[in-house]
Amino acid sequence: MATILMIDDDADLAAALRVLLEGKGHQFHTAANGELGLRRVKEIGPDLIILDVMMDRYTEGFRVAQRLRDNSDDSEYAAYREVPILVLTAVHRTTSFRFGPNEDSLPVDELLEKPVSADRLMATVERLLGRAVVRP
Amino acid sequence: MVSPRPTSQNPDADRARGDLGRFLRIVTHDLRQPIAATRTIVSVLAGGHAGPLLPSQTDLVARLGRRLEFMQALVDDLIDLATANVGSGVDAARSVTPLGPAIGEACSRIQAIAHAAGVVVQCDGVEDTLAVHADAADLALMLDNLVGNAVKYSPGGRVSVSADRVGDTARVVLADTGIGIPDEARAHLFEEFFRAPNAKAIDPLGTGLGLAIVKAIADRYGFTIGVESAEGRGTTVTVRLPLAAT
Repeated sequence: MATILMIDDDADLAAALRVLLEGKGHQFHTAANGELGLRRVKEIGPDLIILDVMMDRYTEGFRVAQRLRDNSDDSEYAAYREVPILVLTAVHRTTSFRFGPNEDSLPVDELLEKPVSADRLMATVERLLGRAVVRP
Repeated sequence: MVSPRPTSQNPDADRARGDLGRFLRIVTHDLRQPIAATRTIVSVLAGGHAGPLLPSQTDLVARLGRRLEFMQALVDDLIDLATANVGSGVDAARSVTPLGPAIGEACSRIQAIAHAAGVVVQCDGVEDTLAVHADAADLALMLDNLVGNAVKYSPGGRVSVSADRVGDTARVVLADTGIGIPDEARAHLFEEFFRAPNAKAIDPLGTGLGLAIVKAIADRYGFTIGVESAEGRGTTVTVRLPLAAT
């Protein structure tokens, strides 16, 4: 089973995902903003990060993803560069932001627009975890 | 990274778009996001992930889900209407969008919904050299609403979309075999929140904003829209758009 970190300021949504993911046997951790989220990444070494975009700041999730995927040699998050990131957001419809693995896009593995159904979320999580190196 | 929208040379329009941006951020964060989160919570409950539900609980959770779905559709349509009224800031005179791919993509986006409703959608009568002066996002929003409406109100029927050149305009024709429009509803068709009685009967949770969004975009670009319909015998919508040189 995997260790999953959700970085999102919506405690109610986090509660629902805790029920869902712990019900499947995963360890589920939360952080309510980007700064706390980055700290938790170092503390728990997640196998998957579920990331919101609009938190304390409008594009806070973007900054978190960019820090985690920073390719510079001295990046403090180099050990977590390969951890899959699933963006879960409500802003896709109202912005011209682009998401995805391309160079000119936000460097994340998958984007799901809120609302997401329990079945779709689980399928996406399991697929991303299938690509991740899950720590024993 | 972020791809910013181009800005125009019109300060009033830019200010309106700035207001729109603030409005969209508020609507998205304070309305759309909580509704979306609540729908996910309901989905966890409905799926039995928090424990099995009694039949009466299943029924109430399903009702809750439908109410939330309507609220989300309303917020999404309000966002689209605000965007349609103000625009993205792209200069229409310099923006050229090929019509054929735009229609093809709108038809592709509706296919899953059409299939579920037993509606056959044909979009193969489109001249492939047509291009119009319009921002691609505006054009997509207009076509999505027109094609979506045709499909929604033609259960088990057919919808065809064609486009050809008439003088210096492109003529887009959407014809459906659906429920049609009652005569008394015709004058109110493009009003915000208006819904014809036969439309309400088919889809009680419609927002009544789809055609208002279409009109807002058409007015901004100078497109003309014609509607021919008879109740019970289908509807034909004809949109004329200024052609761009290709």
